[in-house]
Amino acid sequence: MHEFGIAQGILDIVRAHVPPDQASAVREVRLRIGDRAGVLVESLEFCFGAAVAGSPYASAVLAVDRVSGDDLQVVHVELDEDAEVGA
Amino acid sequence: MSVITIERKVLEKNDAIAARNRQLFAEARLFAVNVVSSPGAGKTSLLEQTIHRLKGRVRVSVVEGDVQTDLDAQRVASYGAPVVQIVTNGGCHLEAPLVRDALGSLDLAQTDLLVIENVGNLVCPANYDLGEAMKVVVLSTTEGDDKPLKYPAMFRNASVLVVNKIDLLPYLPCDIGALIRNAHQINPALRVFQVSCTTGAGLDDWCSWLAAQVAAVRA
Ligand SMILES: Nc1nc2c(ncn2[C@@H]2O[C@H](COP(=O)(O)OP(=O)(O)OP(=O)(O)O)[C@@H](O)[C@H]2O)c(=O)[nH]1
Ligand SMILES: [Mg+2]
Repeated sequence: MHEFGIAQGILDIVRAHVPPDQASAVREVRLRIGDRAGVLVESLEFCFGAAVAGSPYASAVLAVDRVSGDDLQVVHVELDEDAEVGA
Repeated sequence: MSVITIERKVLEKNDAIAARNRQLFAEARLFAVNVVSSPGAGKTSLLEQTIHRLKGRVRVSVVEGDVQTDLDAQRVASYGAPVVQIVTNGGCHLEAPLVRDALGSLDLAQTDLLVIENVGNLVCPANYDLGEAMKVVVLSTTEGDDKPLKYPAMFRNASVLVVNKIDLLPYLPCDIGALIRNAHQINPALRVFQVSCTTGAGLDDWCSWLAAQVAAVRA
């Protein structure tokens, strides 16, 4: 069980791509997870929620595309523009 | 809504550091193996026997990964090999940065064979590259012949299967033929050794093969 470390890794990647002033506009973080990636999606969602709680990214939730293989990738993030300014 | 495209591997940091570890191993011209198994399959026992049998022929150094304690490191040290302990404090597998930090305590230039004993766990270590040349999975006969099917990732990602505790076969329902067939069903390329760290059976074959891998890297 290492989903917390993976959740942290996902958050690091999101941080690297989303300017700090848009952090609270992040709604969806889309992942591609293979059936051989060794990741329990439910557990990862729980850990990600814990990782972002109390942070500027608290409104981010995971959306998962399940594929075959060992992929474990961050595909994209969706921002709610209306929430961006001064949020 | 606006979308920022990312397309990055979550484990890319681990993989980048693993690649650097691999580079270090290449520069030192050493052969590195990542030994994985469930708890108690016999990783440390295999390591002790291997160090003992290769003494004077192959210089072995060891990275020991454990959730708690340095008991395995003490066992290995008593066989005369340089060893550095990583305690993961609950972590279920080793990651490349932990190994990189541990390497600072070893003299890689004086090492022919680096053995990394992973945390006892047949699931999590499968997905973490440490920079090794190959993963060696140890499966003991007491665990049952169905385990390659139940934990396929580890058998798929390993290059070598060491079936340990064959001395116990007369007392167990384990069908070693089925065990090996199951392993080959998951990964037809797996090289298989059947050993007993207690009686010494099969260990000469295993050590000869290891010595040949080391020689190939140093040639
Ligand atoms: N009968 C028998 N017992 C063995 C054999 N190899 C190891 N053992 C015993 O199995 C137990 C576990 O062996 P270890 O070498 O500590 O196993 P390990 O995989 O390093 O364990 P962890 O590091 O805790 O995951 C010990 O009591 C060993 O003496 C074998 O070939 N035959
Ligand atoms: Mg051990």
